[in-house]
Amino acid sequence: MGPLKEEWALKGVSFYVQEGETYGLLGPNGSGKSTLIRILSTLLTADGGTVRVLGHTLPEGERELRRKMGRVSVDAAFYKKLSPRENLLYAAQLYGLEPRQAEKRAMQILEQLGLESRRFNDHIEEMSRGMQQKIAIARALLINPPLLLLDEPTTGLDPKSRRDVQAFLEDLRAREGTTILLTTHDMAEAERLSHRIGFLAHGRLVAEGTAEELKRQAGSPNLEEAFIVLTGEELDEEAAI
Amino acid sequence: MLERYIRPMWAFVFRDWHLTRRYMSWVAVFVFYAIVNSATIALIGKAQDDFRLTLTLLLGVLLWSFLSAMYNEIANSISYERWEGTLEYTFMAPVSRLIHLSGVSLFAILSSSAWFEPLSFWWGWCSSSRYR
Repeated sequence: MGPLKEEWALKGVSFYVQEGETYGLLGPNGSGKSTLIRILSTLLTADGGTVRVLGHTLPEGERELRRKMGRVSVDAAFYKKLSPRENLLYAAQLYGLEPRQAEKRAMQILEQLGLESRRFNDHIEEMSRGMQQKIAIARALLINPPLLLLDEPTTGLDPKSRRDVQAFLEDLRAREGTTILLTTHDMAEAERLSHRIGFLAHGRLVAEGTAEELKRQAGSPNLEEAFIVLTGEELDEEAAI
Repeated sequence: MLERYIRPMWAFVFRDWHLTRRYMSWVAVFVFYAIVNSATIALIGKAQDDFRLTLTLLLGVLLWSFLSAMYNEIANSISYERWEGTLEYTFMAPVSRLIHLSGVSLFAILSSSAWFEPLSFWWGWCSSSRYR
């Protein structure tokens, strides 16, 4: 038997996100970003440390917390044979929302995201990934959550869809004061959307601050170089677009 | 009560109904399977030319196909979520496992009753007609 490979599913992450703030978490593949999002969204239970979200300590307060947060993951998971309308009405009823009001809200969000209303009754499987991701955002926002967890929400989207989503998130933050935790590989996106950014590597938060502070700390002209200097890692070529 | 229990439970019925509508050809396949299955068992009684035996077998096969359809529906509901990748979103929703199971089971009972029982019963009625 060879030597055991060292693996992390996070081991030293400590951070605080203020109300109404957008906090970006940047890290290479396998750094634990999605694991962290799963812990915060009550899907995984941390076997050490303390997790406190919107005043609820996990896992004890998970039931109440679930009513107050939305999540968008990199993979827009839906019932592909159903239409956006059916998928969103299902999600709304799961959260106890009145279907007609939820439908109205969903339509508003989708229109803001640039999805044509005539597509609401098409099968999701016939839609592009960009459209599916916009529907995933609408699903997360149906309950108007004070906390939004975004796990690489624009990965794999075309530039137009990416810009639509980013503009919508900026607008949402300004309008509703939603607190957003964003994980991404995209440096420009992190810089555009985040008030503060944390660099995650080897299961640790190795640096934290505004984009300017991080660049200054690393003595680098841009965030990508700052990331490499401070973490000792490089992002994937595909991801660092 | 409505927001915390009834609507979330109804959400599963809503979802499963629309999924069933989209996979209607599979429903037809399984109804056909249920008919053939019940026929296979009922023919044992017919071969014996025994009304009591045929009736007993038909009642047994009705219950069997009902339970089988119901439990298949419940089991497939989770498999389907895993297949589509939606399980995490369901588990993240503020829905207890009891409400989840109740909603899925309610649809399973409704759909099994709606699709399998009348057909099985109709077939049983026809096949035992010569004894009446």
